[in-house]
Amino acid sequence: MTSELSLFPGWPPAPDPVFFAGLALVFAGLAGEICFRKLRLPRITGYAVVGLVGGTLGLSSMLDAQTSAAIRLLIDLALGLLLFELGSRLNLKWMRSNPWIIVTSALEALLTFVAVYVVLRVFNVSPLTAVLIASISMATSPAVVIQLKNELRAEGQVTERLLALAALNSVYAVVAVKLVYGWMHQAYHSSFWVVLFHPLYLLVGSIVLAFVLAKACNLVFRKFGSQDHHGFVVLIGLIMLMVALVHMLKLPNSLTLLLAGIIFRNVEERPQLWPAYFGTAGWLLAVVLFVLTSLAFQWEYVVIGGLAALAIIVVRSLAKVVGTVAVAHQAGISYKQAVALGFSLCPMASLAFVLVADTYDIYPQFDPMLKAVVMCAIAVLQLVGPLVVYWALALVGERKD
Amino acid sequence: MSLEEFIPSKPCTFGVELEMQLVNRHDYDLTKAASDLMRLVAKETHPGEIKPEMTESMIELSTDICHHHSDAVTQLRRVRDVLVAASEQLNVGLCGGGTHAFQRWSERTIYDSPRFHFLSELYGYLAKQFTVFGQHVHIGCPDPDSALYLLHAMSRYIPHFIALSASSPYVQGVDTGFHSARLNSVFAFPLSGRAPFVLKWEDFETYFDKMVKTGVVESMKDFYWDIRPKPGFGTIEVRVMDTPLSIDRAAAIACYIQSLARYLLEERPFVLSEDDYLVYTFNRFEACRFGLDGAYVDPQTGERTTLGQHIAQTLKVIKPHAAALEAEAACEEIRELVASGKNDAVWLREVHADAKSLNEMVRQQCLRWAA
Repeated sequence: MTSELSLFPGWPPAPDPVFFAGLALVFAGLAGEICFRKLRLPRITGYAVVGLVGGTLGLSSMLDAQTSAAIRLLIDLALGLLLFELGSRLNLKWMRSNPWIIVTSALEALLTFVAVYVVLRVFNVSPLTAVLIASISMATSPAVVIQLKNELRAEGQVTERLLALAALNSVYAVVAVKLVYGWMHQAYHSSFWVVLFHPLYLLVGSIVLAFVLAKACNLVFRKFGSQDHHGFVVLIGLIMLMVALVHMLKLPNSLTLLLAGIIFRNVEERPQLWPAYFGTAGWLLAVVLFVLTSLAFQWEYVVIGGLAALAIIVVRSLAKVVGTVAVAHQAGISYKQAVALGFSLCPMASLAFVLVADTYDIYPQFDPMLKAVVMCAIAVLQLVGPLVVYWALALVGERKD
Repeated sequence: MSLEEFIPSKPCTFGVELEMQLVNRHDYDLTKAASDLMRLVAKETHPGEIKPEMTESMIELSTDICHHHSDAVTQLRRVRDVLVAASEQLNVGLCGGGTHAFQRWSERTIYDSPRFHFLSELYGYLAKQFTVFGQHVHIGCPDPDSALYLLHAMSRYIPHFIALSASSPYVQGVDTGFHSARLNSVFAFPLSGRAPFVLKWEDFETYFDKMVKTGVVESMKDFYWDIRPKPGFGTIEVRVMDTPLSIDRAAAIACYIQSLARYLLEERPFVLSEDDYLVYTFNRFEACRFGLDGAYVDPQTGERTTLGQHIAQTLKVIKPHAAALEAEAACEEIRELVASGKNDAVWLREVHADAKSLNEMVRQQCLRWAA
C-alpha cells in the first residue's frame, strides 16, 4: 500500500522533460515572433537565441544520458525531414541541361575546403582535425535554407540555386567526413578491414536504404495522390521508420535522408510534392531543431576555438562568394545574383552539429578543438546566417515576406 | 495625344504574338523568371521579338511579318527553341494555356517598369488577376478604311477563334466549366468589348479624339477590345485567343484568320451594319462556355448551328483563299481539330482526369509546348 502522502507532490515539485520542452517552445515561439514582427528579423534567429540562452544557463548539462539520447533522435528526425524535403527539390535534369550548376557547386565547395583547411593550419590545428572541420564547413545548413525559403516564400534564381547548392554541398560534406573516418580509423585501429570497409559500408548502406525509402514513398504517393492528407500520415511514418533503421544500422542519417529525397524526386517524372504538407508539424520540429542545436553550445568553447572559428567564418564566406561569382556568367546569373547566392550559402547549423556529434560518438577522446571550433561557428552562424540570407534575398528581390 | 497615322501594309501579311507562362519545375506554379530569361535570350539571335510583360511570370514572344503559314511555323519554332533552351538553364518551365490552372493571383510580382507599375496602381487587384495569357494575331491592311471594314466583318468570327484556341478551363485551382475562362478576366476591364461601329477612318479618329478629351484614354493601348486597329503597323489585331498549348496550333489559328481576312477583303461578302452586333456577346459567351459545341447564331440570317459546324462551313467557303495564301495545311489542321471536337481545353480536362493532379497537368503542358 502506498503512503497517502505520495498522492501529493513533494517539495519542490520535480519537473519532467515535458516541462522543459514546453518551456523551450513557449520561449522560442515568443522570441521568433518578436524577431519577425518587431525587429523584422527571421524567426529562426529568435529560436537560436533561446537555445543559446538555455545553453548558457547550463540546461544541456542538466540532461541525463537517456534524455540526451532521446534529444539526439529528435534532432535526427527533424533534420531528416528537412533534408528529405531539400533533396526532393533537387532537379537532376536541371544539372544535365545546365552543367555550370555542378561546376559552381564543385568550385565553391572545393574553395571552401581548401581555404578553411589552410586557415586552420595557420592556427596550428592538427591536420586530421583541420581536414574534418574543412569537410564539415563545405555544407550549407540545409535546415536554415529550407526553413527560410518556406518562411519568406522566396522564389527566383538565387533561391533555386541556393537550394540546389545546399543539397549538393551537404552531400559532399557528409561523404567527405565519412571518408575521413577511414583515416581516423587508421590512427586509432590498425585493422585494414575497418579502415577500408567502414566508410564503404556507410556510403553503400546509405544509398541502398535511401533507394528503398524513396521507392516506398513514391509508391505511397502514387496510391494516395498528392492531394491526400491521410497519405501524408503514412509518409511521415515511413520517414520515422527510416530514421530508426538508420540508427539501428549505424548509418549516416543525414546522407540517407538527403539521398532518399533526391531519388524520390528524380525517379518519377510526375511532380512529387508531399513535403509541402509538412505545415505545422514540420514547423514545430524545425523549431525544436534550431533550439537544440544552439543549446549544445558552451562558452568554454570560445576560449579554445573562438578565434579560429571567426577566421573560418570569414574565409568560408569569401570562398563561397568567389566560387559562385567566378562562373556566374556561364551559369546564367548576374554578378549581383552571384554575390547574393555566395553569401546565402554561409549558414551552418544542425548538420554540422550532427557531424561533430557523430565523430565523438565513435571516438569520445577525439581532439576537443573540433567541437570548440565548429560549435563556435555554429553559434555565430545560427544567429547571423539567417540574417545574411534574408538580406541577400531582399537584395535580389526574391523575398515575399 | 492624337491617333497615330495609319501606315498601309501589304494585305494579308500577318504577325503572331504569344504570351507565355513561366512556371517552376518543382510544383509547376507560376514563378518569377522574366528578367532572368530576358537577360539570357538577349545574347541569342532569333526572328521576331521577346518582351517582358506585366508580371515576372509572363513573357511575350512575337514573329516578324509573315507571308505564309510556313514562315510563321519556322519563326515560332526558332523563338520557342531559344526560349526553351534559356529556360532550361534556369530550371524554369515554359507553357501555353490561357490561364495558369492553380496560381494565386495575390502572389504575383509586377515586372519592374514604370508603365506596369502605373497599370498596377490604376487597376489594383484586376492587374494581378489579369495574369492571363493570350495569342494576338495582326493582319495587314492596305488602307485604314479596309482595316475598319475587316475589323467589323471579322467580328462575327470571333467565337470561332475563341473556341479553336480555348485553353483556360481551370482558374485558381478549380474547373470553371468554361472552355476559355480567360476572357472573363478581360471583360472585367472598363474598356474591353468591341470597337465602335464606324467604317470611315475619319470617324474613327473623331471617336478617338473624343475619348482622349474625356481623359479616359491616352493611346490605343488603353482599349482592351476583342479586335482593335493598330495604325502604326497598318494592321488590325485579333486579341480574343487563349495562348494555345503548342506552336503548331498557334500558327494554324493565325493562318485560319489570315485566310478569312483574304476572303473578307477580296470578296467583301457582307454589307455591314450595327445590328450585326446584336448576337455578338451571345455568340461569344457560347464559345467561351461550351467551346466548339457552343451555339452560333448567324448575325444576318438568324440561323442557329453549333460553332463546330459553322467553322466547318466557313472552311469550305474560304478554301480558295487559303490555297492562294499557301495556308491549306493550316486550314486542314483546323478542320481536323473541329472534326475531333478536341480543343486544348478538352485536352487539359482529359489530362487532369487521368493524372488527378493540376501540377502534373501543367508539367504536361510544358512538354507539349517544347515538343
